[in-house]
This record gives sequence, C-alpha cells and structure tokens, in this order.
Amino acid sequence: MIYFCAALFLEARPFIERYQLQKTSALKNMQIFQGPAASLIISGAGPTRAAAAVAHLLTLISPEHCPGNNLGHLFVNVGLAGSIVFPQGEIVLCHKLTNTFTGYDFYPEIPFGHGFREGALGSFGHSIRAESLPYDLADMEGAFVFEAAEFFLPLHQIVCLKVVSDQFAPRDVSAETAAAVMRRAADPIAAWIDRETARLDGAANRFFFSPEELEAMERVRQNLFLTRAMCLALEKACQKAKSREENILSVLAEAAGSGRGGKNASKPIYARLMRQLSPTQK
Amino acid sequence: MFFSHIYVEREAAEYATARAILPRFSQSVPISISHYKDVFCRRGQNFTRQKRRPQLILAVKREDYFHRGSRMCDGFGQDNFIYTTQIMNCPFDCAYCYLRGLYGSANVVIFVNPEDTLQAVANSLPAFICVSYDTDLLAFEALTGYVRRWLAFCAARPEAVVEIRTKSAAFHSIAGFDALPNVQLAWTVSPDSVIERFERGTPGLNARLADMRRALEKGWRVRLCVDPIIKTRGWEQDYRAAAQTIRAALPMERLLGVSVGCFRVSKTHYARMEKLEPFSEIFGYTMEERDGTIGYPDEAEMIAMTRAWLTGGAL
Repeated sequence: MIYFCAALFLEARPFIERYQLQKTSALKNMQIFQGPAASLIISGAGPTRAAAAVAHLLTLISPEHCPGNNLGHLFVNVGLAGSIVFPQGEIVLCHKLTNTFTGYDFYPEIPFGHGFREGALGSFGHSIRAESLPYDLADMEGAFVFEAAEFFLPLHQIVCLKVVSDQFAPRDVSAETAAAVMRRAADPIAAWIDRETARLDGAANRFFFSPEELEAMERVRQNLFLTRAMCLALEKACQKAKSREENILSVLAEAAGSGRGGKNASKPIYARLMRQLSPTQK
Repeated sequence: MFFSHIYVEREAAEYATARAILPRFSQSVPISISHYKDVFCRRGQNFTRQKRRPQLILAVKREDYFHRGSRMCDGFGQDNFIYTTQIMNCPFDCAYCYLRGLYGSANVVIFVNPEDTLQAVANSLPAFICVSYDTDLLAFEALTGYVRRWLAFCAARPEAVVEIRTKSAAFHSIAGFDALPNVQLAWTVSPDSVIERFERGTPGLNARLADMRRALEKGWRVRLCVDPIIKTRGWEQDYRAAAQTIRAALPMERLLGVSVGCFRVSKTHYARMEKLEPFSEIFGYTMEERDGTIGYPDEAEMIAMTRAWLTGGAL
C-alpha cells in the first residue's frame, strides 16, 4: 500500500488521477481518497493538521491490516516547497527535516538509487517570505508529517518528496503555476514510488515456508485441535527445524495423519511432534 | 568501503580526523547534525537493512572513553581489563554478531577525537585494553589510522597491554611498524563454510591465516581465536577440517595463545538478534540460559572437541 499525504488538493490531484483514487470520506478540511494500491489524505497546512491527518489515515487504513506484509508499505509526503537553492520544478528528496517550532531534526532513511536531488527541509507553521534561511527548502508540513508517521511505520518506509514552487515567496506563485509544476513532477515521482514499492513488496514476500508446509501446519492445527498458543509454538519449532535444513513436511504429515481421535488423544501426539521438531541436543 | 551519506556532527567537522576522512568520500552527501545519537539512536531503524548499505557518522566522544570488560569476554586473567569504543559497528556483517543486539543502527560511527580516549586510558594504567571489541579497528585502519595511534601509545607506555582483535586481512596497514611486546594481535577465525554463510564481507580463512603468519614472522605476539564456534549441520566436520588447515598454516607453538568459545550472548541481545533474522540457522538450535547469558547446552563439549582438533589430539 502506498500512503500519500499532501497539504493541498492541487498537490494531490496528479496522484489521485494516476492511481485512480476515489474520494471515500471527508472530515472537515481533510479529504481521503482510496484505491486498491494507494490511499491519500489532504491534510491542510500547519503542524496540527499534518499530525492529525497522518494519524487519521494510518489508523483508518492501518498498515498492519492491509493485505500482504507490513514491510511492503511506503508512506510519501509529497508537496510543494520554497527554495533558493533549487530551481522551480526540481524534485528534492529531503534527507533532513527540521521542526522549526521545537528545533528537532529528523533524519529519514535515504532510499538507495532514488535519482532525485537531496536537501534539508525546514517546516514552519505559517507562510514565510525570506531572503535566506538555514534550510535548502521550506514548507508548512514536511517535518510534522514525518514526526507523526514515525509512530506508525519503520523509518525506511517514510519519504518526503518536495517539488520547488517558489523562492521563499509562495504568494508570488499563482495556483495555476503551482498546479502545473506539480503535474510535471508527478510522473517521475510516481515512477520512482512504483519501483520502490515493488522492491519493498519483493523483500516482504520472500516467504520462509512453502505452501505445502503451511498447508501441513494447518492440517496439524485442525486434526490436533491446537489452541492459538500451541499453533505459535508449533510455527516457531517448525521455523527453527527448517532453518537447520530438516524436512518438516514428513514430520508434520505424520502428526496430522495420526491425530483424529479427539482433544485428549491428540495431546501426546502434539507433545511427540514438538519433541521431534525441537530436540534438546542437535 | 563506500558510504552514500556522511552525517557529520558540527563539532566533529573541526577535528583533523574528520578533515582527513571527508575528502576521501567526495561522492558522498554530507549532512550536518547536532549529535550522533540523533541519527544513530532513531526509532524505527532496521539493522539488517541498514547493514546492506551503511552510512558513516563522524562524531566527538564526550564521555565513557573506556568501559570495564564484560564477564562474557576473556580478560586473560588481567586485573584492570578495559575496552574502548573509538568506532561503533564494523565493515563486516556477521550474522551472529552481538552488535546486532547491542545497537539499533548498523551505521558506522567514527569518533574523531581518539586523543581524548588515549589520554583517559593513560590515566588508568596499568591495564589490559581491548581496543577492537565494538568494531574491527584494523579493518578501518586505512581510513582512520587509529591502530597506529595505539602502537605509538604502547611504545611509550610498557604498562599498557593492548589487544587488537580482527577478522580482516589488513595486517599490511601496520606491517611497517616494529613489533611491540605489549601489543597482542588477535585474529578470529572460522571454517570457510561459516565465513561464507555467516560472516559476509570478511576475508576467507586462508587470507586471515596468511596475515597471522606474516605478523608472527615479524615478531608480533599473535593470538588465535576460534570464538565463537557456530553450530550448524555438520559443524564437527567443518571445524575439524578448519583446525587441520590452521595447524598446517601456523607454527602453533609460537602463538601467544588460543582462545576457544561458543556462540553466546546476553538474553536481551539474543532476543533482538533473533527478531532481526528469525529464519537464520544461527537461531535454529536449542539454547539455554545461564546467568542471563544464552548459549548452547553442550558448549563445554564443543569447546573441548575444538581444542583437541586444534592441538592435534584425538578425542
């Protein structure tokens, strides 16, 4: 699942279109769009809205309850930012984010081979107009979004991508220009996101047990009337035995085949199975 | 050795070591930070993922210049057994390494003020000092020159006994120095099957043995460490064969000592390590807890067998 968080509709629109997202619910000033592969929330600007939006999205569509594995998700804060270091239209991956209220710095994990320029982002609670700032970029939500997302996902699954719209003078840029800048940047950003999520999915889906082994474990569970705790212990024992390159399939099949005599009769079979899988000396 | 990003503490950037290291990574992106823990101790890091492409952090060590030796480590009977941490983490990626349980991050931290550590240790002599526990100092020698600093330190202070433990084949980086009686070079070795499966990035057994032989020829005091022994399917054959290779390659009688130990870590570290790679064979065998330490139930027999193979005795 790809999670998007953008402050404004014009920042979100190219991704809503590209991932064919449908509006599913609306809080006041906070719209949510969903599709099979992505979810998006429009937070509004400022720290409170950013934090509330991230918490709302990641609770409503919890990574833990999405299909597949928690490892395959990517959270992307995407939006416009001001900069006097980078030209208009440049896509910048933020490698340092500063919450200018608290002064705390946040350091995302940098994805390998992303191909974008990199910079440090300062996040402010209000629109700023300045000649210079001690940051490469300035916006009104990046660091706040990151700080909130950290509560829900591992570091390497959170990225902040900014598209430069102005030179620290956001009011000088029309909505049409900003939308055009965002539209142009959306394709390379989406292409990278698709590559990155495919890579994360690939890493997440390297299952340890074969389908036959999972099926055999399920048969044991049913035939021996295992409780949840017994199932977990069995899975762990199978994991250790398989890591020792032992053939767990035959042991499981034997236990499943001999366990159809009721709960009491299956207890010694379960005990024998666990002994076979977890010998004290190996 | 390549780091795509280098995090530099603002204070560290002023030190000579940092100024020497940074130009060597002109392709890396430098990121200014306030304190190394802002990066090294972030929540939500994935050690195994970071280990594939670690980043470098340059920092200033401000406290805890040395620590008392752990009861899990062999202090070789020395009263004042201490160890120093001038670098955190290591260029190698050993699946059984306790650093996986100790640190939340696989990024490498180099403390750029080794002179402060040396001064603190100088005030605590006499001492037996292990300088390469939480890292492989010799493997980093070409980058930092810290081993050379310890050699100069020991040359001037006979009451300091320093052990430099390594899995590297980087003896060449100190081969130009004269052997010192109060410096012990210790190589950890494993069978090639263990090296290939569980010691990613390390030199093979023969390369390490060749370095040990060169060090002995130059008069250095050299210790052989077959520690930890890793239990795998058929570990006996692997370690017996490795022992034969070792005995054929080294004049065993000239070694300062041979230390043999089995894989063991603290209970807390073991739990963290197992969580990182739950499907590794390292964690596939029955372990037992003794005084907060997790180890093999039959470690005494394993150690005795390995010792016998190393000495050529039959068991």
